[in-house]
Amino acid sequence: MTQSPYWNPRTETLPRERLEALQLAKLRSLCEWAEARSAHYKRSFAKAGFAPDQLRSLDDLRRIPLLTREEWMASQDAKPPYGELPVIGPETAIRVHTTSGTSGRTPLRALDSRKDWAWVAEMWAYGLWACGVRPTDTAYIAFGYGSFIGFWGLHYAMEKMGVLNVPGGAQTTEARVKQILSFGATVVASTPTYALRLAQEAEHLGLDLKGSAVRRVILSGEPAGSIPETKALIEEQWGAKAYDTAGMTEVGTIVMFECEHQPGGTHIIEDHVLEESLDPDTLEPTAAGERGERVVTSFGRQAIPLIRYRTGDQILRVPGSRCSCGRTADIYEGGILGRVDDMKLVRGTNVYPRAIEGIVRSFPHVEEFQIRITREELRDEIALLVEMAPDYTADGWTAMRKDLHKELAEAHEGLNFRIERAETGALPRFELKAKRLVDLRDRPMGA
Amino acid sequence: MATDLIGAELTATEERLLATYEDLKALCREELPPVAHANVRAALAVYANVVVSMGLAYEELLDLGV
Repeated sequence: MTQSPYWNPRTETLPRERLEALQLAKLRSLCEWAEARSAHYKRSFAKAGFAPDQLRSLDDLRRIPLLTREEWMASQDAKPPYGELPVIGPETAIRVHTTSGTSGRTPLRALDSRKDWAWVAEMWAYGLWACGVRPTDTAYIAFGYGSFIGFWGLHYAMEKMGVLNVPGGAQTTEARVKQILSFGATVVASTPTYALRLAQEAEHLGLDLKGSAVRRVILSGEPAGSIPETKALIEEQWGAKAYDTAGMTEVGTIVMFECEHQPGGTHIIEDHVLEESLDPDTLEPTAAGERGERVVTSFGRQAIPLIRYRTGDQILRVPGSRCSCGRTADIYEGGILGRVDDMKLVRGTNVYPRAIEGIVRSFPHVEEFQIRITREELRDEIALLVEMAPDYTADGWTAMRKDLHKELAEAHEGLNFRIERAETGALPRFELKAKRLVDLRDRPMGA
Repeated sequence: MATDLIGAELTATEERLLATYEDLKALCREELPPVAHANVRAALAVYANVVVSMGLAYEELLDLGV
């Protein structure tokens, strides 16, 4: 095996025009497949007056109708249990995974063929190799191994690469910390929230994570992996480098990763996905340097063709030349910046959970927090409940509370956050996707 | 001379990689005992990543049970 810094040197360094030619070739083939085999796409293409032979350049991509989660859900409801997007039934598929369903909605059910599942691992291999993971590593995967797709693909990518895997399913947090140390894990995979939780547990147990063999923490599942303050806290608590990745169940795997050069964003795996940045209101492409909604077309999943899927993720796309690693794929600056519908309006001020987390995580003694928005008579109120380390002193809290209040107000046009100290263990802990904003209003003022 | 998906000529090694892929596909079309039927398909599922990721081929394999 060569000592290449790239998993796939042939396409990761393709000049831009050749990369786009490759995408166009795959896009034509994918659309032909989807039109021929998927009842959903046959109908939606016909309704939009689109035919795959109209694809003469990537600009023609906009002739293809967009796909929303609601359409997928409606299709599943109309033709249960899998809907009309898939081109196969359960008799041909080899696995099914579901979305995490954190918002209380029915989860999407995604079928995979043998080839699709092998591709899911392939995408993770691009990312893991770029993070510096190598066959001599030992990986601990702090994940529940359930129906949520999570780190399943990472597990199989590690195996493919020749890495020794320690599956951390069905364990308490204490047991996981002890296994990480006893197996001499050099790489740990978890959500950002759970990486912090593991570090807290190690501290409570008096175990030395910083002095352990762990050199890399692979993050996924939440935007926090690219929030600089959260990432810095994870790196400080683990004594290891943290690397962000992002994907979604609808695609089946990750579609972006942070390389070892860490340019402040994540490279898109552009030879396997075609990504667009659209204004969520006008659905027009965003201008350079503007935030937009991420729309993805996946070349990997044959069983469920995913073409121009509106992800709801907010991103800011910049050229790959921003990074010195030599990859030509573009970068999402700051990774996934949040959801396009994440913003809350409180007394006329825009509030983003990611921005609040960035401030809260700059206070290293915070163990957990929750943002709570309420309506008291006609006035909206926002409170931040903060759980500190159990031995954090009252004097320390008084000073910190004042600083936190000031920083939050300065970042939110003077908005008054009520800062309250929560009792130890009072706030919910998360292993997968953290949900730290609770909006108890019927709807925002003025909406 | 064989070319990749965007018209570049293949190296000798790339030609061999592509030929092995075609061989696995051909085996999938044959009547095989369960031990070969399943393992050839499992091999092709993983092997397809070589030719797709390197831009040598791009096609769906569901009709071969992969």
